[in-house]
Amino acid sequence: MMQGSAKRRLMLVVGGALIGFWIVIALFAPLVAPCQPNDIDLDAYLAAPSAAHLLGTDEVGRDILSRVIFGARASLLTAFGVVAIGLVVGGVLGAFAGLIGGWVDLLAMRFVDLMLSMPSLVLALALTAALGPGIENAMLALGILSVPFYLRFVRSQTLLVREMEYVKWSEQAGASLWFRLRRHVAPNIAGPVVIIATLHCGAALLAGAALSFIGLGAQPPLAEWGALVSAGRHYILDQWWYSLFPGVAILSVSVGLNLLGDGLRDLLDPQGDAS
Amino acid sequence: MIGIVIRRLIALVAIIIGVTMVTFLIARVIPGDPALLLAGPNATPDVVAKIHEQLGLDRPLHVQFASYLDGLIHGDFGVSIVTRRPVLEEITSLLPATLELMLTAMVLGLFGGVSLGVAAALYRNRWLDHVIRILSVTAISMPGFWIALVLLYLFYGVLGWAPGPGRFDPLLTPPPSVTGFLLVDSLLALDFRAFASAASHLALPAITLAVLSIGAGMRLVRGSMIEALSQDYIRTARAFGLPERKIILSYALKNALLPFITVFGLELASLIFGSVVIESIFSWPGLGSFVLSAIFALDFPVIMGFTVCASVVYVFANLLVDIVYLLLDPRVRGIG
Repeated sequence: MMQGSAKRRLMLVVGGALIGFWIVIALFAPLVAPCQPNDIDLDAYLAAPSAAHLLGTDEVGRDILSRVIFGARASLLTAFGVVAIGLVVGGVLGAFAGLIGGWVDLLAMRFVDLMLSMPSLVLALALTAALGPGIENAMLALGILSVPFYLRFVRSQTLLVREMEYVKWSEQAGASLWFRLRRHVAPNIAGPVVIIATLHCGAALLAGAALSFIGLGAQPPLAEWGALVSAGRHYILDQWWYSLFPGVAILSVSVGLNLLGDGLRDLLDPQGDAS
Repeated sequence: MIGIVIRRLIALVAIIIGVTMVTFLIARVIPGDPALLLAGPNATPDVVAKIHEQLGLDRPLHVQFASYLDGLIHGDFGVSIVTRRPVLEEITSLLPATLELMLTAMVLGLFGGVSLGVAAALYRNRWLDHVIRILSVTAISMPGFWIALVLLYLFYGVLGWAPGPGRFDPLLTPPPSVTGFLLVDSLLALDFRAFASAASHLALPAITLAVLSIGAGMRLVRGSMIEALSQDYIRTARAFGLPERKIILSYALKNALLPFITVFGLELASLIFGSVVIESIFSWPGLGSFVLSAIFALDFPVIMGFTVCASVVYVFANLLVDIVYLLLDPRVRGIG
C-alpha cells in the first residue's frame, strides 16, 4: 500500500517533470527541433517514421517532430493565456467584490450566476465564430468565459481573508483597497488559486486544442497540436502517426497539469484524500 | 419544496432572458455588420441598406433584441442564411440523431463511471484501485477528438470491427421514422438488421463521448463511495450480518450516488460541445455537424438558435437535477 505522502510526491514529481519538459522544449524549440516547422521536403511527403524523420512527415513533407516541438509554443501559450486572462480579470474583480461587499458584490454575483448557468464551451464556440477564427481569438474567447469562474472562487476566498482580525484592523486603520488586496488578500489566497489555475490550465489546453481542431483556433501554416491532429485526420487510416503524435503531446501536458494540480491540492488539504 | 421549485422557475426565466441577451450580443454586435456578411464583398451600398431594412438592423439595438426575443417566444428563430429554411425546423429535424448519440453516451458514461468508481472504492489502495485511478486521470486529460481518431483507426482501420462513418448503412433501408431514434425505430419495425447497423454505427462516437465523462464520474463515485462505506450505518448493517452485496448496492451506493447526480447536469455542457466536435469526425448527421458548418458559413441565425437552445436545455437539465436531488435527499429541502 502506498502512503499518502509518497503518492502525493510521486504525483507532484511526475506532473512537474512533464510540464517542465514541455516548457523547456517550447522555450528552446529552434535548438531542439531537427528542422524548421515549415521546411518542406517534397521528396518525403507522408513518409513513415524513420531515421530521417523520427515522427514521419505530413502531406507536404514537413517534419512532424519539428512541428510538434514548435507546436508546444502555440499550444502552451494558448492555455497559459486563457488562464492569465481569467485569473487577472476574474481575480481582481472577485477580490474587489469580496472586499467592497454591498451592492457591488451583489451585482458581481448575479452576473456570475448568470454566466455559470450557461454552457461556457458552447458560448466559446459562438464567441470565437463571431470574433473570427484565429488562435488569439480562441484564447480571448476561452479567457473571457473563464472570468466568472475565477471571480466566484477568488471572491469566496477573499471573504474568508476579510474576516481575519489583522485585515479588519488594517481596514479600520484606513489602508486603501488596493493595499489590502495586494498585501493581505493576494498572499493569503495564492495557494488555493494556484491549484485551481493549474487544473484549469489542463482544461484550457484541451479546449484550445479542440477549437483549433475544428478550425476556429490556430490557422495554417501555424504549428499547433490541435490543428496538427486535425490536419492528420484525413490520413488516419494509412498515416496514423500524423495525428497520433501531436495528440500524445496534448495528452502528456494535460496529464501533467492534472497530476500537478491534484498533488498540490492534496498537499494543501491532506484530509481530502478521498478524491 | 414546491416553494423552492417555484422560486427556481422564476429565476429560470431571468436566466433564459440573460442567456438570450448574451447570445444576441455575441452574434449581432461583435462580428460588425451582419448585412455586409450577407450581401457579400461585392455588394453596392444600396443592397446593404436594403438588407439592413429587411432584417431590421437600422433599428436601435434594444428594439432589435425585443423583437428577437418576441420571435423566440413564438417559436421563430429566424431563417438559416445557407439553407433558407427556418432555424427551428432545421434544429428539430436534426435533434433526434444528436440526442440518440448523447443519450447513449450518457448511459455508457453513467454505467462505466459508477461501476469503475465502486470497484476502485471497494479495492481502495490495492492495484485495481491504482489502475482505475490512472485510467481516470488519463480519461480526463484526453482530447476527445483524438480519442475519436484513435478509436476509428483501431476499430475501423485495423480490426475492421466497426463500420465506417455515418449513422446507418447506406445499402439498407432505414426503418420508418417514429421517434427519430434509429435504435428505437428499427426495434419498433422489428427490423433487426437495421438495429444492428444503427447500433454498430453508434458505438464508436458514443464510446468517445462517454470516455470524456467516465473519468470525472469514476473519481467522484470513488470518493463518495469511500465516504459512504466508512459511515456508522454500514458498520451496523455489517454487524447485523446483512449480505455484503446488499450493503454495497442498496446502502452505500444509494448514498454515494447523490453527488454524482449534480455532476451529471454539469456534464451536459461538455457533451453538447463534444458532440459538435465528435459528430464531424464520424460524419454523424446531427446538430453538431450542422452547427459546425454554420459557423464557417457565418450563418448567425443558426449559431444563435443553437446556442440559445443548448443553453436553455442545459439550464433546464440542471433545474431538473436539482429537483431530483431535492426528492432524493430530504436533508437539503429545508435549506433551499
